[in-house]
Amino acid sequence: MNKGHDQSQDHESSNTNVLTLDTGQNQNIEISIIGNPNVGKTSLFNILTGAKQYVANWPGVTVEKKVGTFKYKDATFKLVDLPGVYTLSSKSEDEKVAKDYIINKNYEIVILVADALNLESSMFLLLQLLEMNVNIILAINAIDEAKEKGRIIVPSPIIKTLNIPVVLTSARTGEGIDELLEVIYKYSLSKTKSRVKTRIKYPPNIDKFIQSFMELASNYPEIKINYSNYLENNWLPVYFLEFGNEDLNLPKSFLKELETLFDLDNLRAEYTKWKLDFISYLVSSSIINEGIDWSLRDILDHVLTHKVLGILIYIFAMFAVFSLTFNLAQPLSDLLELAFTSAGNYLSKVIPIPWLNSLVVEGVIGGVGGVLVFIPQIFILFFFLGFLEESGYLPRAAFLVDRIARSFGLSGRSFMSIILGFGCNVPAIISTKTIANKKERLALILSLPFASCSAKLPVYILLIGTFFSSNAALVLLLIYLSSIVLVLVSSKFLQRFITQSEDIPFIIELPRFRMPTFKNLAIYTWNRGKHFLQKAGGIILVATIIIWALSFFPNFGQDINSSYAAGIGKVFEPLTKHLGWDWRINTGLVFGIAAKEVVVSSYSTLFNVGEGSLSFALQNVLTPASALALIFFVLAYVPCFATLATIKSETNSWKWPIFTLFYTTVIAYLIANVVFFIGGIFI
Amino acid sequence: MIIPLTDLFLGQKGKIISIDLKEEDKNRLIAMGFIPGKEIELAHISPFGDPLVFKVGDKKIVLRLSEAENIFVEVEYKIESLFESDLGKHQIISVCGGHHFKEEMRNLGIREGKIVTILGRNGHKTLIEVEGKKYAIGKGRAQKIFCKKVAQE
Amino acid sequence: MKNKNIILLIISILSLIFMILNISINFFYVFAFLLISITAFYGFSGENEVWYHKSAHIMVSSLLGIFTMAYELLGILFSLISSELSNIKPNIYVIIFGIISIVIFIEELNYLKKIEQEAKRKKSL
Ligand SMILES: Nc1nc2c(ncn2[C@@H]2O[C@H](COP(=O)(O)OP(=O)(O)O)[C@@H](O)[C@H]2O)c(=O)[nH]1
Ligand SMILES: [Mg+2]
Repeated sequence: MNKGHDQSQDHESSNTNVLTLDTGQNQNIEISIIGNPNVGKTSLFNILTGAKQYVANWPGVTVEKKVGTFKYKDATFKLVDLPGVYTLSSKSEDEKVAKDYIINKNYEIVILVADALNLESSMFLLLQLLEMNVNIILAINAIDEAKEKGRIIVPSPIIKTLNIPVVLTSARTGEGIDELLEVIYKYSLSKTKSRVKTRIKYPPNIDKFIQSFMELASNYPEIKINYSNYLENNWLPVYFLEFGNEDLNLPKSFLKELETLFDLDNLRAEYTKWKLDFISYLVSSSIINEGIDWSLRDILDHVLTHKVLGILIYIFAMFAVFSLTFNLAQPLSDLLELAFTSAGNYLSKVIPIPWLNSLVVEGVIGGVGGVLVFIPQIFILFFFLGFLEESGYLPRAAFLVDRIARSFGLSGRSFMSIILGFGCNVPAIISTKTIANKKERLALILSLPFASCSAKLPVYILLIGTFFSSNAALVLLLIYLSSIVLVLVSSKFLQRFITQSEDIPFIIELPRFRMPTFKNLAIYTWNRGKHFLQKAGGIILVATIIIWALSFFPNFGQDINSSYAAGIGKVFEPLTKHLGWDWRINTGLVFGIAAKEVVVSSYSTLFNVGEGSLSFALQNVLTPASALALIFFVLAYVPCFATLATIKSETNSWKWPIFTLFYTTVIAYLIANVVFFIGGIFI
Repeated sequence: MIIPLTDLFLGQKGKIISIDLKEEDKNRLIAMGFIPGKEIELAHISPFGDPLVFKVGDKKIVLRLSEAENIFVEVEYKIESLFESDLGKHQIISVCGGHHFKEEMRNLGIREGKIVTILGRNGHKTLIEVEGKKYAIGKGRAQKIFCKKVAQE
Repeated sequence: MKNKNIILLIISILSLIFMILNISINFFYVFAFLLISITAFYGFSGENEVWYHKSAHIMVSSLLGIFTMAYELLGILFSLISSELSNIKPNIYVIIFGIISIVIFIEELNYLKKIEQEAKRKKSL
């Protein structure tokens, strides 16, 4: 049974305070979700608001403030989801977002989400919030996993000691959600801003410090003005004790005076000790442990995080996925292709106007259809990435390769972004917000476009299927491994030109292994895959029509070799002739800047063939070595518009996206030449 | 015995005594669960011996050597390879390596649980006494045999 | 299971044999069996104090065996979809190994559960 419910009624009855705030029925009551990373904040946010925000099993998924609303009974609430934090100090940008939001106190209630299996570490944040005098509801989440482990949580000691409502929830099973809603509702109805709260009882020394600090501070008008957020409820002295002066920058003269009065180091130690004791008392009285220290996840972890086997198993998994994309997705792909071809054949007989016929059959169906046949492969890739993210393997990979990444000036954390980049570069670049080291972050942002995103997959599959079908999966594996190496080397190279330098410890938490639910994976795959479909109906369609038009005009499809499209491609022929790429290859690459899939759709249009024979047509134009060079060129060259825009917004400057444009093209061209040369020897 | 975290053996447990890091990093680690007095276990070692994963309660946290060597724990015993150990009596904790190597060591009487006495060093060789017999063990081999010191009677 | 070393030995040797048998058939399975064999082999190493070390290696290597079989079965299923019945040539080795893996995995899981029960009983005493 949960006591949070009753507790909130206690609050109402004991509510004799002034400062009433009218929470009128139609007014939005702002509630924020705060907690350690990866405890299930966004999962709860999604359940409460019906949103579909990004949820995954690693710390640092949410890097920005997300807002949603929900109604319960007659009230409307505005809910704010925040990046996870351990304490109110901040190092990286995502933590700063959360910290600033918390300190500005524009919310009325905080839902502090704690992990049922790690109550202790949430208590630090809880106490810090109590010291700030905010209204807290404690949601102890993942209660399903606690039960599974034979751990029983009894919230009454926390409720009694801290005088806050507590709810046990599970975002996975839905347990406790109704109760949480009820508690939020009741709590928001009790119409005071400052509901009665337990004043935390500090040891006498600390109390004395707080008093003298405040007295002293009242002599400094600038403190009153600059730190108004901190002064309420005597929070400034406590914050100063806990985090020191680094973020605060209190006046020097004030600090001097304070130092003459107190031995700050001793006081700090005393404060920390008091806190630790208080927390361990709270936690030990609320947990009953019945299980033993064994679980399947530990067993899996022992091997999957093994020093040798860990990486091998990861490579095996990638290999399996690539084999799947070729062997298993192929039959489905063939079916789709069959459907498009017959649609094309039918339409070509039905449409009488020649140009419209050509537009629909060669342009739209040939081009867009040529991309859509890769739906199965792309969805398989996303399904796999979803598995990596939801199971908790990603941070483990970070742990395994941290040492390697370090010799390239990166950390294991960066490696996680690289793997995310295999899905799409945009979220990968956004995820670098959690990297506190500015130098590492900038170099990584500029190198992440080399992470081979899913949009490039159709190009690879087309070319590999045509030229290297006997070793298809292996070649694909090689491409992805090269992609990782490319990002690493590029970061190392770029860091030579970035002067900032910091030394920040690399400390991350490994989340528990979780078996992803099929539902979560399906949602993840669909969310990502949907984007691919939208692109097919949007930018890919538009680009394809433009390419068709350029190839159809000015001589109405009579001679494609003198069309506008040929003109564009021929400009680059001097640069690409020795690689064995003719104008058609070049034109496809030019339009591929809009979206990489367009490379494939434009080849279907430019080679003027139905899908079945595109491979055949390509074999007539390219040698295996020039195909391999083409693959690596596509791997490295200009990122899509969305990625460039993200680079702009993450670096706050136009300089970097423009730099990326040239940088990636030059590197891609170099690599294509090297690959062509080496390929020429071996193939 | 108080040792830095980096001297823990894979799977060995200790009690956190102190964290000698910058105030800020220390606070963060404490908030992550590195609470003095709690039990901590070395859970995983990465391919290059750095970083390490430690388990506190139900939490696993990655730390690099540079931080881990400044965190101190109390352990009942320290596990070292025969090559690094001081002179005196030691109990064998484990013998690593191939089947063949283990078999060979077993024939000498070196196996888990047995007491050996390290008599001295001769260049890279470690001189030991097991079951009344004396052997000189090469560096490579001694590094594969792990033991803990036994209190002298 | 009691005698873990024997189980580990069986897994590593069997997977090595199957690896060799697959060399001319499918490179992916060669990699899979090699990985299984190495996983089992590391189970012998004793450079740690983790009590479930051997069980962990047994369970993960058998899980890998099960996954490999699932992969093979998926392949068969998908070629059924594309209706190439005559082309289906199931890889017997993968399936045999998968079935053995399932047996080993379940046995080991039961063994661990038994230990857990005993520990609980001891605790409550
Ligand atoms: N078993 C279980 N898993 C949960 C629960 N809540 C969240 N998760 C999982 O925990 C992981 C982190 O969730 P997320 O909402 O992204 O956490 P956040 O970082 O705090 O926003 C995801 O893999 C969720 O599926 C829960 O109550 N039970
Ligand atoms: Mg989140």
